[in-house]
Amino acid sequence: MKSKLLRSEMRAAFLFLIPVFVLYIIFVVSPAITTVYLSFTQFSGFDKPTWIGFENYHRVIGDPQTQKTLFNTLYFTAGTVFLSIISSLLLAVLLNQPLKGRALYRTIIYLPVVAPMLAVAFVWKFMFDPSPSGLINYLASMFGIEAKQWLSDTRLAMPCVILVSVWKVLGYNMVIFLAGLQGIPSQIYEAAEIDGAGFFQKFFNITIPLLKPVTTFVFITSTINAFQAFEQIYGMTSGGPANSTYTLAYLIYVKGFRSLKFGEASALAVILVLVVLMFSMFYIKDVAKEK
Amino acid sequence: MRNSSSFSVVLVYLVIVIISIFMILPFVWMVSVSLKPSGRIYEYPPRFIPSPVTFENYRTAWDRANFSRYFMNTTIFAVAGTLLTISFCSLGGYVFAKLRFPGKNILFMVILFTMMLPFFSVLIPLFLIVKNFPLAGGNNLFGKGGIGLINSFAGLILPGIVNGYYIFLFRQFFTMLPDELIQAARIDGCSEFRIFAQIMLPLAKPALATVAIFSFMDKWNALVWPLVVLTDPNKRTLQVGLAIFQGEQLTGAQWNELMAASVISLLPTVLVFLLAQKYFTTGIALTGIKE
Repeated sequence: MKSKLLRSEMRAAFLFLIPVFVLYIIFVVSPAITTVYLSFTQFSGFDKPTWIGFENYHRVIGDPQTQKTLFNTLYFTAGTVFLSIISSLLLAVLLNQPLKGRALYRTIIYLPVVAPMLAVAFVWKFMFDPSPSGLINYLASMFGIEAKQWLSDTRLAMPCVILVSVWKVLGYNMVIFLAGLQGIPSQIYEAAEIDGAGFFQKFFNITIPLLKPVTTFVFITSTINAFQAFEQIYGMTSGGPANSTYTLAYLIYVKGFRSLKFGEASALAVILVLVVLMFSMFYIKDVAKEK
Repeated sequence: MRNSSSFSVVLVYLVIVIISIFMILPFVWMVSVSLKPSGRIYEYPPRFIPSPVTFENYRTAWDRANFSRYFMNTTIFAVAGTLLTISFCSLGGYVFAKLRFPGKNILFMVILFTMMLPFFSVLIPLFLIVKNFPLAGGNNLFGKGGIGLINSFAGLILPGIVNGYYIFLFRQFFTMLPDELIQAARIDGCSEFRIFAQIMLPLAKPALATVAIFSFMDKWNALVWPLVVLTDPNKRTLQVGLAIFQGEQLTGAQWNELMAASVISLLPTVLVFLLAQKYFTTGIALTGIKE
């Protein structure tokens, strides 16, 4: 009797998983494998791919545009992740206090997260308009800062893109940190207060160490997301000025769908996977260590 | 206690208010510019409350720029895609949570592993697979000759249905439901599918709502895949329409019109967020932090 139930259970599992795995194999697994294959070929979308071995990788790594792109991507990722963690952690600590209107502030801070990136990239682009009536320039002038070119300035464009990216995810990371903070039992803080600990001591000796798993999670997910930044570059700078905001995801798109160099784009895509996998592995190892 | 305590409270409020203004400012500016007539876009000093107020830009975007059509396309895409997603992913999550079968752990690892694949790494082969889909869009059995599922509703929706993230979320949720209900139903002779559909699924309303909301927003806000897969201007989704509209800036669309189009494109997700806020915090908490 028992094994009959078990067999019907297994049969059901098998049947239920077929539609899921069919879609999975067609649209997730085979593209992943094909990317690797294509990276060793030259392919423009017409005819057949021609096998050229590692030539794409040589070409791509030796190409100054790619090198600049990889550098930009690291710059962007480091800037975004670093600023993101600090600001959302601080905000979470502030919003963890019993304040009036806490829910309202949380909603407002979370709002950019749900908006489509392209739409908000456009408004930020207009806010960064180089004319004196660009909102940012106008606000800056009230502090005595002269009008800047912002997105047309090779040194300012990337920081602007970083700012927009941090603005976009601030609420999301804050909510995660808030959940982590609420997991810290208040007794620990109370015990420390009895021992005379002040705000900074509590923060650095209790909060930060106990938040380590959450911080690691935010660090890894933010990094993985930063490597895939696309819409803000597409909407604000198109990779410019002078390739200063070209990042990996944008380069893959342009190489593939504008230059029709699917082979080279796939080589870049493989590099992207390897980098992301590397970070994911670090995280998994870290989590496994905790257990 | 001491005076510095009320000072620090004021400081906390000040920081939170400033940050909140920073978060919401772009949205306010977007609406403001969208209501400005063309002569006032670059007025100096820039004003938040336009005078005169005009809705002409919304009419331009909605009618002349075809955003009414894009709105409909996006609604169909987001709703249909979400229904399919919650169906497939809830079923998948349930199987991994509650059914016993050989290879279960390995298969689940596979799904988790693919969660770590960045979308841009599979974008190009996904495009090619959709284009060369056998027996679709004029393709022969080997997927040659036609355009496959390019520019089709199926090509737009199918790749996004199975999502490791949502399967994982459902699996976590179903794991927490008691096994006794299932065992009792089995003894009563209930079929596995009926157990899933009539007993477990109604209990999964929080997870269903959470995934539905996240999925709806993901699809509504999506840019890259619709941009790549849709070639017919009439089939565009809002974000694609917005991207093209910006391109037309050089030939016609102005900032105020672009802002109106942007507002149209983000209104539904903002509304969904405001109406369903609690699902955002629970949804995030259900995933990474607990594991």
